[in-house]
Amino acid sequence: MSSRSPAKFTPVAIGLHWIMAAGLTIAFGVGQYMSGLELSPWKLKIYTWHKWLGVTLFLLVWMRMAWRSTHRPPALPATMSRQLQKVTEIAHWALYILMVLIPLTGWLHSSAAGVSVVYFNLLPLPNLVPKDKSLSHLFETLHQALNWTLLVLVLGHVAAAFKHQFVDRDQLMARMRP
Amino acid sequence: MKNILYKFVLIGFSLIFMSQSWAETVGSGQITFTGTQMGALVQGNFRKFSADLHFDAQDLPHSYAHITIDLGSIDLASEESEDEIRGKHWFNIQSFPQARFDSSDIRIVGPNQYLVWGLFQLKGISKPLRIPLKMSYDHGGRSAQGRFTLKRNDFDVGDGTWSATDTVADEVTVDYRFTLVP
Repeated sequence: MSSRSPAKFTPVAIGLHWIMAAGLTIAFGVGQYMSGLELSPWKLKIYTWHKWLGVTLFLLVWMRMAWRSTHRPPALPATMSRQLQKVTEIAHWALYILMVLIPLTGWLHSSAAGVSVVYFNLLPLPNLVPKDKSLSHLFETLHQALNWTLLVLVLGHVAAAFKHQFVDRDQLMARMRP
Repeated sequence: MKNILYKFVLIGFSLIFMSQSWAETVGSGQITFTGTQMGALVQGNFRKFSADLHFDAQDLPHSYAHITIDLGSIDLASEESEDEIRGKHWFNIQSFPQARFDSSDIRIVGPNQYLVWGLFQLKGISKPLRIPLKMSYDHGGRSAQGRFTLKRNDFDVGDGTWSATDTVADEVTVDYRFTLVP
């Protein structure tokens, strides 16, 4: 391995990371809020906006994975044990998988409910499955369960970043600074 | 000779076929609808309805359609939306459990294409309705199908805060299909 890994993430990777972090936080918060609402025109509006945001995040995660696969990220600190590096790698893979599966299960849930998605009122997305109430419930449950899994992983991700910053003091967070 | 006989049989058969009257097979029908919510299509259907249909292409004056829909049997996106639509702002099924269509006139407008005039009753409001009907022949049966558009606000369906059409559009497209047997 003669090529040295870069010291910092590329500006595109940094941009995508923070845009998605903000988008996922908003989509999660709105998702929590909207599911408790009584049915009203406002609820239908906010569900639609949640779906548009979800489709945006779904597009962004594919762009991010394409970028990641063609741009080498900085290496993990050599001070980390082999096991911990492995755990980190698995956790990052899981984050990407969830960022794909969560919007996808949302789209499947909406399709099975018989409600189509028209992205920003412009681009009609195909219904992935025919209308089927039990399937709709299944995808709803899956969408929620995957979201809680994502929340746990993201909290772990943030805790790990803070540990590097404030305990190890290895300046790891600087690599992702906008 | 054989050929002529064959032709006679064929002509005879088609005459019988043409003049035959057809009635609905119970439980064979489908009534589905599509609304628009924030620009996106929303599908639904009715699980329970009864259709008393009689169709004879050679005797349209005696052909008729009487359809009663059990509005409570609606199948929508979620139980929550079904409960809402059964409520007083939408169908108000406590006071108006059924919708009805009774034909008064059927006219031919093209090959196997008809227009059915009649009265539609929903939520205590009666309005004349014109429904296109297409007859097709398949597997020894016939299917009667068509599509038309209703305006929900004509029937006060979705009143109060729901009557604005920016979230839930006024137009609802209804599709129906019935299998008829001799």
